[in-house]
Amino acid sequence: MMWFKTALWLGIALTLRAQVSGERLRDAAREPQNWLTYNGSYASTHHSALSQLRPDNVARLELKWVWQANSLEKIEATPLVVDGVMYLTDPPNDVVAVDARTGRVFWRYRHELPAGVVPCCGRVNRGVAMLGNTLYLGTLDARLVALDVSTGRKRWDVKIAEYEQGYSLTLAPLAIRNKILVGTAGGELGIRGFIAAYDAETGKEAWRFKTIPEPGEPGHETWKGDSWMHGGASVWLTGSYDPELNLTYWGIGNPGPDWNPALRQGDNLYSDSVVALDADTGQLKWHFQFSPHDGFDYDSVQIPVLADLNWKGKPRKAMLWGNRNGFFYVLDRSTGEFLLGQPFVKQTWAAGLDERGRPIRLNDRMPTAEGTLTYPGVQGGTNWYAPSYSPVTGLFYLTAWEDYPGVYYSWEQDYEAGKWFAGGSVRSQMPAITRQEIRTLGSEVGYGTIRALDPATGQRVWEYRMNDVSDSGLLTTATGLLFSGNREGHFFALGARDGKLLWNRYLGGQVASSPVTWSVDGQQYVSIASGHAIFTFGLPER
Amino acid sequence: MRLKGIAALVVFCFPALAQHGSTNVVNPYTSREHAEAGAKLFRSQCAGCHGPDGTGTGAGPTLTSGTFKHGGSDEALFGTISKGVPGTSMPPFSLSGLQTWELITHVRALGIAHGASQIKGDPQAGAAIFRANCSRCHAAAGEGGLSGPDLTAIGTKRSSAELRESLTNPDAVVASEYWSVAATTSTGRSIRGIRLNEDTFSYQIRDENGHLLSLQKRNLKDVELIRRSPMPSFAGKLSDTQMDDVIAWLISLGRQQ
Repeated sequence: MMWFKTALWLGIALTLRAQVSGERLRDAAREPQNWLTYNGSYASTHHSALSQLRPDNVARLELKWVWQANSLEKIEATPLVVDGVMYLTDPPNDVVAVDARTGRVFWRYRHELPAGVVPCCGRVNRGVAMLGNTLYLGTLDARLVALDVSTGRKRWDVKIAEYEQGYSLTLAPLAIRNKILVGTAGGELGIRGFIAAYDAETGKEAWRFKTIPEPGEPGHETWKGDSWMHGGASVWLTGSYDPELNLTYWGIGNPGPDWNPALRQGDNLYSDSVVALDADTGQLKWHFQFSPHDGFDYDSVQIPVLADLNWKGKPRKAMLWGNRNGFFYVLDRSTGEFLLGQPFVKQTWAAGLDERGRPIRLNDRMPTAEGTLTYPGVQGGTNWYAPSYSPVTGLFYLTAWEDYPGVYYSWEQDYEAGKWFAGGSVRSQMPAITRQEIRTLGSEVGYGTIRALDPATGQRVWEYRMNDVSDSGLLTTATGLLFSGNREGHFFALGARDGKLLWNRYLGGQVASSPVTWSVDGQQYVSIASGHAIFTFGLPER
Repeated sequence: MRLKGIAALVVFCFPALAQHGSTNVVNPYTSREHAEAGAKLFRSQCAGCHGPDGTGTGAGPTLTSGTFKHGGSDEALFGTISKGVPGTSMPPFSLSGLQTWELITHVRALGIAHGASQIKGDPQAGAAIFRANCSRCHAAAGEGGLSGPDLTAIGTKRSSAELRESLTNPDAVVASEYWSVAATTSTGRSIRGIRLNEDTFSYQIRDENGHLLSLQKRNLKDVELIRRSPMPSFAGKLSDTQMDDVIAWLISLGRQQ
């Protein structure tokens, strides 16, 4: 009987330990042993206070375990790690709970997708959110699914939008207090984007922010005629949250049709913008549009990085943003005020930014029937993978595609529900999404680089140049490490102050997600998805 | 009634199957009107990844070589379009049967426009000419030398016009996969070979003896990437007819891939 009571107590203790309250999410930085949200914390700095791994011992990292996916789709997910359990998605929409120490599987949730689901760019998913004892998953058939964290059993499942019309969910949801926030992908399929919050217990919709204003709403005048009805402005990457301001920040995707802006005259709000929403109501507090009237598919679907800076002698709640359009921005996240903007890669579409941060567009650089060569190419100067801000070095880090052009074509486009709605095409020698295993291209078609920028000036402090481009996000640590991977299949650590290579392992598969670090029983681990597996490293045990 | 409806659908999608009782399904919608409808559909649904003229972009491969990685029969193309290719960014397209066939008609026309189907020469004669003139350096169909690229699948990647240009002016376009590396190691050893692959830290090469070598960049004193072709021009050495024959053979090899 005694053993039974002990086991019962242990079971209850484990169950209770799994509880992820809203307070824990708010204070995630205080428990660096866990990776509680897609971006590690509401500030989305991809920075960890863990200190066991240091520049002087990182070269001793060894492989601890490998988890192999069932799927041959690309892994873009960042796992959660909560009290010794890792929760990850096996693309497109299975969820798996594994022992973070060994990689052994506890349970698997299988999500069957109906025929007719048409995601734009691969059957991908970027991960789950956790609140209480529930995991939340967005699916390619545009549903929000709640799973019991102990069993993987479905608690509820609600329809977010019509997948038949091109809507899908690829992002990891964001839990804020008692709500689960998601946005919808489908920007190449003529959807009308939105961000919506759902009651975490019931799945009932609490609020919805439409990323394209409807008739009568401010900003509607930025869409000529009926173009707003199929204007895209999708949302496919998890936002950030400032609990003090109670504002949640989300990057919005491109306007559609992508490459025929003449079909949608105007600025096309809130495409290619960041929006700051009241987390309780979804009301728009402010917005900043990076690329008005975009013709290049420069989604502003990057992770809003929240940093508290000393700005010209005064503390400032800032937002750091390396945009797909090739410019790095610093905004005031309380007001949306533009503080700084500098190109971080070669760009030829704008003469620069004006004093309010609006690009001075070169009008002869829009897509044409004959093709217009423009930098950056369609994958942008950077993209959705995580940048990082280290409060220790004070630097902003991002993965960039440098010297990378595209030839942009434009043509007429009719709308048909659920069908491709891009109004053109882009030609580039660089593989857009999936790498070439054999790569013989030269740097004349572009190359990948990790760059450290000084937020005060936007100037580059150092760079780590790679042969191929990279779709890997970044992770920095308080001890001055930066972890990343690349398309070549390498996973490596750099010195965060100087960009020097400190450690490298060849894992063989394309890295297309962001590294995470956590600890269990005093041992720090770092994990990365490469190819169709997740690799976890740590120091040799003493 | 329901069964009848299903039968009607099958006939519409695979009329050749219904007519001939064969599994070799043939596209029944190949008129000029169908090709035009397919062209419109191609621009709106396919060109985003495969390029306006179907010659490919960084997001999708060329469709103009006349050969297709996932099967080149009408039936296979129908399957690729309607089911997609798992593990790639090619999604399934929920088009009607008619639309899918029209698209296939246009895709075939793209290949013809790029000369993929216009083979003038005699492949058998081409094989003999290849053995006599090319195979010392180039392998094809499992035979030949290693100092030049293996040409077994070249017919899937290049049009006949491009192959002819390579024969007469080898330096006109040397694709990056045929560039070579000449390196000197830190110990003074000279190494030269075709660059098969490259990443941040290393080159993978094949030297003229067929040895596969990996060169760590940190161990190289100097390295040169040679973008020229060592191949001589065959203008004046082979007649126009002989060139047509060789090209016909290479393209026929590609179609067997």
